Amino acid sequence: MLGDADRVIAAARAGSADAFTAIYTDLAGPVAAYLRAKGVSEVEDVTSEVFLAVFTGIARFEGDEAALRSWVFTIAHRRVIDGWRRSSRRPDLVPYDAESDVRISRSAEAAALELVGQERTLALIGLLTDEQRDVLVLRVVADLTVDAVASVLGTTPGAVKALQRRGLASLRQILSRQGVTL
Amino acid sequence: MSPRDDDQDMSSDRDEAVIAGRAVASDDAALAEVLGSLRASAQHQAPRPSEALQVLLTHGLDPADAVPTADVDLGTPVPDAPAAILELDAARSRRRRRTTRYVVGAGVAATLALSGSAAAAAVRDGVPLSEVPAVIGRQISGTVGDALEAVGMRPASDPVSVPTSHPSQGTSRNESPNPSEGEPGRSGEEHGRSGDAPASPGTATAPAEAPGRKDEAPGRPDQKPDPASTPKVEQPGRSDGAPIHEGGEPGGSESDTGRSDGAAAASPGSEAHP
Repeated sequence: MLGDADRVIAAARAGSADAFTAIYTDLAGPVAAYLRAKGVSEVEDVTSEVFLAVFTGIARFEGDEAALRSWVFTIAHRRVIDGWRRSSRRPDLVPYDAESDVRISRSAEAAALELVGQERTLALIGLLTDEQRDVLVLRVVADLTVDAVASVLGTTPGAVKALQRRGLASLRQILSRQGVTL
Repeated sequence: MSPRDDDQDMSSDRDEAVIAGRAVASDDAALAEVLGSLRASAQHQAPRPSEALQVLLTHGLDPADAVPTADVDLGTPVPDAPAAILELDAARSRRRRRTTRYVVGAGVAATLALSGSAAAAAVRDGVPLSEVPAVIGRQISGTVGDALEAVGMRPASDPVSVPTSHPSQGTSRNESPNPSEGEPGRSGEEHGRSGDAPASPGTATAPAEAPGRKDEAPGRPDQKPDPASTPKVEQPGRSDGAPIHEGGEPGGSESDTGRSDGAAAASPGSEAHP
């Protein structure tokens, strides 16, 4: 959380390096976690792109800390979508790995549950649909309210609640089937 | 009815507790653990910024690009703007200048095209311009004269001799509050170079033609008191201007035709005014 959020935001709008650093220190971690959970490969680069866009556009921003947080994650979300569009036009060529071929290896769910810690969490979240993952990650990692998530994703709070409910139900189901903990 | 009566609200509360990491039911322990791990990932150290971002974090943003506020502590001063930002700024101003140039250029081109086509139509048609109000006629002739002069197509005095002399006659005649003033001119028209005689009162009142007639201007005030002698006194002036007029001979012949038409048109008018 930003200390004196209003003052920091006002200073950032005036171009203060200290304010930029405060905002970056506060939000870069959650943004990177969000990007990681979304499967972005170049997390550092995309995080920097997001904050470059934030700092060069913050002079036009108006709002409090919650609004700033929501705005930053909106930019991050759009960067992810742009990255997907780019990669869909120019697909990455990955060498074939028999271990990761689901046609001959274990199920993705089993593989996710066998991982430990952070990787396992990301693997489990990766089993959800894109929309469910977006909602859960933005709510947990970015600490956004239902309304703020709806704003970031461009949908309604009701839809966000429904996605959240179904996402959590899916995770419960997966975990109860395997009966394992982290 | 309370929200607790609704199963959906109960599950919603449960979900909110898991999301927020509050105390959860024992059957949600695994889920809470997964979400707790996800939440912890956000507490990791911020990733290393790129070079461009590092510049912003070190120097801040150029205040010219930011919105200044009265009660803002700028913290560390901004010594110099980052090169990337300066480049962005320069590109913006270049784009602005280019746009302005396009707009101004398009405006000038449109004005020239409009004036040129109006004048060309007037020259081609000859007579109908006499129906155009005098002010517009003078405006068009002045604009076209300047434009042609700028392009170098005709001498500066040429536009006066060809397209405007006849219209100015007509308009000056129409504008003249005293019909008797026009009478000598009209009678002069019937004797040949009809356009020249009444042109002197018309051009005297026309500011657009004044530059082209600078040489002739000093002679006119002396000639004004005697309208009957005006055509005769102007003849030397006209003969001085003859080479210029001859230079535009094709146009001159057109104007002659127009003038003869004009004379023909004017003669009934003169008959109408005994």
